[in-house]
Amino acid sequence: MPKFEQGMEAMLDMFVFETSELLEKLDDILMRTEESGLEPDDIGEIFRIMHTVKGSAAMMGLQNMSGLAHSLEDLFSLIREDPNIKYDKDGLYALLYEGSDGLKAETENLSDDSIPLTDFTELTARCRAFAQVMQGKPAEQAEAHTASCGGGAEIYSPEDGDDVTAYKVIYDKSCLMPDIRAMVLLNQTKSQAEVLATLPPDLDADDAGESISENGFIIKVRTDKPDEIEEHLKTGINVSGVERIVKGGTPQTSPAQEAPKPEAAPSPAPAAQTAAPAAAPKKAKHEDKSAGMISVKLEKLDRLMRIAQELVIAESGVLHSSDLAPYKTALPNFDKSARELKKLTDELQDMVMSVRMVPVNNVFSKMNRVVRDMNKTLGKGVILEMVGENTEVDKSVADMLGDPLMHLVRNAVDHGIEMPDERAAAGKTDPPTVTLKAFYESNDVLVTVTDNGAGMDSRKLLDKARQKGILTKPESEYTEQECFSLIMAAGFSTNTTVTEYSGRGVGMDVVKKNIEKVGGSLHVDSKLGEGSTFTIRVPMSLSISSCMGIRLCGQEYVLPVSVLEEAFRADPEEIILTPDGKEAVLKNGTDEVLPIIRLDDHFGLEGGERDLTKGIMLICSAANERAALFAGDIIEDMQIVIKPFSPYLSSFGLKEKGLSGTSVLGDGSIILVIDAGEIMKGRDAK
Amino acid sequence: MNDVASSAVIFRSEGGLFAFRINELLEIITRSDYTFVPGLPDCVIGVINRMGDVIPVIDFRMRLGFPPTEYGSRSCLMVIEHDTTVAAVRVDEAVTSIDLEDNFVELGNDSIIAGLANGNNGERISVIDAQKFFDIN
Repeated sequence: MPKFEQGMEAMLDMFVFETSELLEKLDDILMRTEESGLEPDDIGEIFRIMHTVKGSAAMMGLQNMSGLAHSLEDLFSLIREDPNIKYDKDGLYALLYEGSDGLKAETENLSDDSIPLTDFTELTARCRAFAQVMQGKPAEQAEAHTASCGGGAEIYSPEDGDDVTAYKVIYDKSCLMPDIRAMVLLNQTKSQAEVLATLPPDLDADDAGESISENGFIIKVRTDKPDEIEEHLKTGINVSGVERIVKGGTPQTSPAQEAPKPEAAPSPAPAAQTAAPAAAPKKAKHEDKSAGMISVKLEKLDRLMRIAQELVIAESGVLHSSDLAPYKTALPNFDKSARELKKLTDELQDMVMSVRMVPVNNVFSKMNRVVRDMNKTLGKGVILEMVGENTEVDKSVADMLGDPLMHLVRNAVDHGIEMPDERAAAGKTDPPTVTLKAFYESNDVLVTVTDNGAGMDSRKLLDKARQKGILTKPESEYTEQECFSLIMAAGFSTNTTVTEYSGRGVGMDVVKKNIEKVGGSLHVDSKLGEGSTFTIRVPMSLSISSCMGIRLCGQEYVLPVSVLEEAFRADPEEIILTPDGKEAVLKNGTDEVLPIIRLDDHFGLEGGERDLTKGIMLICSAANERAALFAGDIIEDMQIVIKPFSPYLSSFGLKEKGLSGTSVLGDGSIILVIDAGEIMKGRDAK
Repeated sequence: MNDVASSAVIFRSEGGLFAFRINELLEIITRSDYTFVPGLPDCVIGVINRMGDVIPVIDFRMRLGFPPTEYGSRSCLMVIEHDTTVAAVRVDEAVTSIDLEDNFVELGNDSIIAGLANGNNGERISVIDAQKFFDIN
């Protein structure tokens, strides 16, 4: 049994998406205004958010959510109407946060039928009580407003015959959006009888809902079966009664068969009654700023991108068709059109890529809430600063950044920033701050989390690592940098006490692994007493990688630039032959000796460049391995979309042999992607 | 054997006639270039780009254990799909199709050849079991 009204399944995705976005926005505003105070704009915005959530929840038949949203909306309608109204600000924010969290959780759990609907009655009642207090009224004054009866006879005109009957449909007071319900009812009635007039005449009007809940919905039809129509009208959702309006007389009331729905919210307090009319007329003026935006499923974009790629390949097939060869020089118009086409397809490709780019702001702003909540419990008063929040990244990258950032921010506030008294003792006068920063560096996006807290003591880290037995080499060989990296090793946690927010033991190593999974890296830097910086480096787009094209035995391969440190041609005196017959090279301009791996030999290719001084040395480093890979030649760097091998091809063990995937180039040809890390690992195993 | 197609597409390779079931054939590509990939079994001679997907090219002769030879101008790639696996199979020439209804003797052994059928002129045709054909390891 789904939780929401039947027939609304199709709307679920949209509802969840829209509502989460609105609630996210609400959180933003709350966060921003908690200290500074509410501006009229913010009040209006919160009001509108709650109004929309209320409306769409009611559409879905989610009485609990819409009731709660309604009560919150009422609070803000009071504040909006009377800017000088007095209220307990902390209490208000506590209610808002609780409400927002409740709604958010409910939205997330909607599609899971095993989780029952949450009962917000208690919270809703508290909101109402709060509204009462704001108005200076005792809470008990709540009294159900009874529907007004009588009237409506003016809808008849003198020329109406005996077959014309008017009805007055009265909706439950708790019914939300009676105008929509009335519209549905009207459409159903139209199929049974000729509808001559309604009151209010225009159901789309802003005040239609208000008028209907005040005076009922009057509908005049031409029918010879007035009783049937009356019965039909009674079956409408949330209809509490239907009256037949007698010409020039008083209406005859008959109660609706259907009792008001039990889950309907309790009769609203007077506050609710006065709030709604004020809300409706102003709604239209405050159109959402995001008007003109649409949301699209990511898979559709993926398909669009694929088609754009195919188009470029097909284009190249046409333009370079061998059939054209004989006419090569005699096609001036064709060439002109071809250039035009090329320009357009290039632009299309760029456009498709840019559509997927979103500002990191979406991810950053979620951290406000994290910090705010931690400030409440830890009392550290940490300020969150953001730099470069408009930096754009691929949607998939933005989605992936959320969890690691949350972890790093929590760590920074919990472990990084000291308690206020410790800060004072250390003579720190600047406010405790965590800074989020995003910027580009070549084809990567760097996101840093910096705190001005205690920093890390490399020696303490080393001690701890020794106790945990996770050191991999003699202590004296650890550089300061490597000591900091120890906190990212599995099973390392510096805080001895487990807190609510961090220190669960799984921590940085998981964060690191998740970032590495998408081809990124995590870097730690710290200064004792001054703070720490965590740097996440991820490709701007997960689908596009920057690669160096190389040539082996006449065939082209690519090597991701992320593993490539340096490429150079070795001089004869830099080549070293070790006594056991292994080759090594002196890294350009340093005294570092790196083992040489001949890629030709590695892949079992014949006929390639054998002279070590004629080919190219590619210094690669990945996962603590470093080596010089020897290739025949380098071609150029290129931006490509790397595809992993299909499961069938993977079953031949290509990954273990040092190939990570393929890429289809613009002209349709295939290029193979070399996995340097795997090749260097394989060498050790031999 | 009720759920398999009743027709098969005949091709020539190594002087004999073979066939894939028609429901397993996605298309026949007349192009013959492919990209070599090191580290694959010998009979997987490379990969091609089929509408954006990179699929392997299996040399039919070599898959059956014959030595590689030069291919003629009628050589083509038959794109075969079995379950979710797609691969192109390089053959000497695609010939025609035959009806397998009442014209198929199942061999029932572990061989790549699922059974035998008679061609339109009475030639013997070996029908390939695509699953076993793909199972190279």
